[in-house]
Amino acid sequence: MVAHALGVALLATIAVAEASTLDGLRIQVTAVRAAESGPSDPLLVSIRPRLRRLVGYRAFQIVTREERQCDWRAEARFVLPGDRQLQLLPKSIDDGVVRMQVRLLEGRRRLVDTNVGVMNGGTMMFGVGRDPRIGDDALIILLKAEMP
Amino acid sequence: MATCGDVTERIDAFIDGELEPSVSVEVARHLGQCAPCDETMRAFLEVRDAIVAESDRAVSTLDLSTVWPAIDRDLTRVAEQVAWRARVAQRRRGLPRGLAWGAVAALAAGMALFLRPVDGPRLRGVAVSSPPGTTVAKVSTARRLPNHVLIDRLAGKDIALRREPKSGTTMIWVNHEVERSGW
Repeated sequence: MVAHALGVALLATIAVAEASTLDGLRIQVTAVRAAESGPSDPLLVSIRPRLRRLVGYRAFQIVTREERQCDWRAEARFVLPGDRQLQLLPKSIDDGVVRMQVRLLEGRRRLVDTNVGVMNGGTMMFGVGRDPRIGDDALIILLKAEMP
Repeated sequence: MATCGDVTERIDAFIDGELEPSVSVEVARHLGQCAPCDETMRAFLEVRDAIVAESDRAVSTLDLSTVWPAIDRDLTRVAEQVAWRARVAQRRRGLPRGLAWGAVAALAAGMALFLRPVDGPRLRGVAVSSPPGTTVAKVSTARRLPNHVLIDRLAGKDIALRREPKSGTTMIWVNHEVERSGW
């Protein structure tokens, strides 16, 4: 009887410990429109030179920004401009690296399907080039994953 | 002579020092004569200074006390490795060539056995699979900058991987011609 109680207590402790280590993943997705010219968003002033080096465009404006807490091993969808969406499946955190499956969709079309590890608190980016048929601007997606 | 519109478009690049010298001089000359443009530039500078100050404040709260000891340890380790290699090279000069190669082969076989995965292959930072007609990237896991990204698998059509070396920022760039898939 005592052994059973101890076993249950041990299992409960392990479950609580595991839950506490896998709590609180915050995902921030920012959609940025990139254009050849024009003013840039003041909120992007600190990363503007980096964006310029990466994509070659000169002007950047935030279109949408969404931050939310995501559950582990549960799919999260972030709606983006241009009938696009970012699908995330956070899998684990290992040695300060948040591992996720990420899919970038445009309508039903899959643009990117990848498994990535982002440093905790770090940001990675996706970019979708200008569509010459529509003549729209390029879209940059900033994906930040942070577990306090 | 630059107009207010020309200058407004170039203020960002002017502040970042990215303009050609001749254009930069032209913008500076206009700013000196045009109060509204000068005011716009000052507003940009204030925003930038505020963000820089906030970044500095955040950085100042970081605990960097373990950084230098870690670097020191790494430097010592590298120095020891260099000295060890020098000793090995000196010893190797005295050995017959065939014996040295035999020892290297035996050591490599031993390492391969020792490092063999126990529960199936587990590749980190290396592409493991890709559907037909997809692009796959191989990414080293050696560097760990703040924005460094490890990519285990990358699938998509007409995509490119771009990295900004200073911060390690990684971008997966999609050219707009895309695959129609049965998602």
